[in-house]
Amino acid sequence: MPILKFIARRLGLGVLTIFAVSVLIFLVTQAFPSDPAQAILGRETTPEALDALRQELGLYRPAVTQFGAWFFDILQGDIGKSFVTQLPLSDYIAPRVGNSLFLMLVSAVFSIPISIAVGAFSALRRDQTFDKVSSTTSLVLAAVPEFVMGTGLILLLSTSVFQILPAITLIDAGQKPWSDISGMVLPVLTLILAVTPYVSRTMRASMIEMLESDYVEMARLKGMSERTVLLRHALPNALGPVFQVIALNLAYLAGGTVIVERLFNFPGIGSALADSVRARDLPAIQFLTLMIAGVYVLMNLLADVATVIATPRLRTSLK
Amino acid sequence: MDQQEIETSGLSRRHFIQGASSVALAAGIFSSSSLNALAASVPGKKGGSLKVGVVGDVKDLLDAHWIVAIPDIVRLNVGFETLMVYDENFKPTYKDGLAEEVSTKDGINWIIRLKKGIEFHDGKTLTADDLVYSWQRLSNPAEKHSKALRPFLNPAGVSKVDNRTAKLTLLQANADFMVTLATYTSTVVPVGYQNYAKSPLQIGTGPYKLKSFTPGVESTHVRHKNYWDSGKPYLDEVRVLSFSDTTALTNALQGGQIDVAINVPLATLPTLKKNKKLDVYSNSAGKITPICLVIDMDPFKDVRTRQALKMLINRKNLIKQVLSGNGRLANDDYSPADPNYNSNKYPMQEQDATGALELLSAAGFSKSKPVVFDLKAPDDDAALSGLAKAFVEQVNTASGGVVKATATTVASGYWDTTYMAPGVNAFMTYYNPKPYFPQFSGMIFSYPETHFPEPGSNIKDLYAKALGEVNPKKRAAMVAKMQKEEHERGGYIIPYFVNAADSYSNKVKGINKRNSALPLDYYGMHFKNIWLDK
Repeated sequence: MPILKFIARRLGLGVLTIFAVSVLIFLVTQAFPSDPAQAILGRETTPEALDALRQELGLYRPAVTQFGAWFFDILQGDIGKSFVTQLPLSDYIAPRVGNSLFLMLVSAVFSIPISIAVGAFSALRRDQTFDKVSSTTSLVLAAVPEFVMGTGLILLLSTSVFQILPAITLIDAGQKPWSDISGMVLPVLTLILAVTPYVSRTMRASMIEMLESDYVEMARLKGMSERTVLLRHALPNALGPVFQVIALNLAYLAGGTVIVERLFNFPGIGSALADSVRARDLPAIQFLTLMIAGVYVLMNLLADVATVIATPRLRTSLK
Repeated sequence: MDQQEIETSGLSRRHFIQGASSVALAAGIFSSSSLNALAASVPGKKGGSLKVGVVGDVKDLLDAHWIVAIPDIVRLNVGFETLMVYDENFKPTYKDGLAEEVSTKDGINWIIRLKKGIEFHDGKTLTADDLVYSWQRLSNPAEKHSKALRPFLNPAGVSKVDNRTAKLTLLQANADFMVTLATYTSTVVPVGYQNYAKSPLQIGTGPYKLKSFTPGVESTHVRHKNYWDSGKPYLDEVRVLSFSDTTALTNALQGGQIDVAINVPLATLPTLKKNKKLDVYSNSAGKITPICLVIDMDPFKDVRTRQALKMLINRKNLIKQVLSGNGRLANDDYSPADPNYNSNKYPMQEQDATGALELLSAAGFSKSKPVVFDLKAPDDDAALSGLAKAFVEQVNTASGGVVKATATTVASGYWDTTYMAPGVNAFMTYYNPKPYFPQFSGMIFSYPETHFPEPGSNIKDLYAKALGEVNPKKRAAMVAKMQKEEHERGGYIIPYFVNAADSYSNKVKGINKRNSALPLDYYGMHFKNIWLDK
């Protein structure tokens, strides 16, 4: 099966990428201006206490040894303990992964169908009112940074103009991410508004290209119904490039939503990463960035596979 | 005259306290503090859950004797109590403390008797054994929290007298030791107590006991049913929620998701004050954000440079510029609530460019050989980085180019890499309000930021003598000498006292609006005075 070979090859490359990323992360954390022991003990500490903690955390070992030990543990599924809390990192990260995944899924479930529909419809109604309005709107939305959008929504819907939605998400420790649905509305809305413009604009461009292609012309000349032409011929081919954009946006939603998470005090992995950097919690920084890199690699792989399967000429060219 | 004008006009503190409450002015004979105390003593409604928001992160910790950041102070205060508590004039009192009486004859031997019938969260009665354990833990030199106490007490100096009485024998006389008993980290814990990292069981005597704690997320504290102060506390539970930054914190308060926001940015006060559902409590007890000039490093080695910089600034403008008016003038001195504050009666330093330039010229500086330094500030506190920038701008402009200073905001890790670091000659720091002696000790012994005093100074001996002096008049004379040396030769520039502001829903009742070392009058005295009006 050529497709399996393709997947295997991409997986191998993915593993290499992740290894390279892990080396890079490790080097970056070594270059921080202060070390974790100092960050943990704070301004009121003694050189002896610092020395003892550095010893305890293994910071005196050579960098290569530290990296090797960490990487070996990760391979065995042991992500280690937090330097700061001395508690297993899995206890800290697992619920946050759940929260972030839920935020990503809900945002994706709304934003992907909406953006595909809007993009496809704009292409069909090219240069008409709907297309003009949606193009302008998506351009504006794409230009506005998320924290401005989020702050605007908070001002509008929760603090200043109307007070109908909570300004922040309150998910208690040990609670499921859906325990505060009303508190999820604003972060989800912000992410939908952040993601939709990119996907819909790509969809529109791709769909226009397909509608102008020879084979669609051919299908129409053969006398097929417009519905069949669109759904069976134009749409599947138009989706190929869109999968790539969707994948990147999903990966972004899964790990890169630091700003949105902080704005809404959402206990996800984005805010965990920001927290860990501030606290110089090396094991947490290393694992979280590795995980986010892993999500990017995986999403890209899935997008490539989906593109290949959805695009006949790519599928048949695999050997 | 509104509150802001009173605060910036340099009127005495007594006037300020009276001016802070229009009711008190109308009544004429009452001070605002007694009215507030009256309001706080009205019995409240029982029940409800109070949500308190504070900026915190995964470094949040829980230890009855040790704090690093503000959320730690809040949590310590919910569950643990001290022997004495400061009143609004920073005098230690018995009212909300665990001690019934504290006495000394010589300033060395201190006898502490506990109030009767105080129970810990687990039902055990508080005894002198717990007191001995607490003070041995507090003074244990192996523990980092013992630093300020080390010159006065070691664990061997703590002993039991009877079941309700303990004795502390100090290493040197300290007539002011009650201040230490009233410091909020000097709490009483049961025998065997360990911090949260070692044992999640956090037993204290406070009005609420810990139910759950997740650093960087939240902690829940439920009512202590057998609390000693009868009829209190009112709430069923107190929840302390950590926020990633002040924006999320104030949004949550305005959106009604939390009832209390601790330490809101001064810039948000106008917005919060306009909100009819919220109350703002601006506390002016004497928080300082000193500019530290290291006195044994150039260009500050010459005392005239230090003096000139103090004369070049316009303090009133700094309050307007950096604090949006939320502060009051300071004259490089500290601890405004202390009875010995400004004992030499120095007049407020006005901007005096001519005088400053004369001093700088005498010290050998000119436009062609300017005073050059870089003032470092952290990025995590706008009050510090803002002051650094405004200060530098003022001294450069007012000196007409004889001072060429720059301000650098250190993006990350300031407190680890830059603060008090070797080679750094000018940097920012901050202190919460304290009486004079603990503040002096902090600046000289715990954090020798400016390397003051100069060689040959006897100010440290004077401090030790003044501490041991029981006669207030003799002691005031010694303090006046210390303050003279600090004022004339010190490396701190303290242009103003910063207000600390907190905001809360107007459903939250029972907060005594007086000046205190901690927000909301010790968080509504461990939240026991606070109730919810639904």
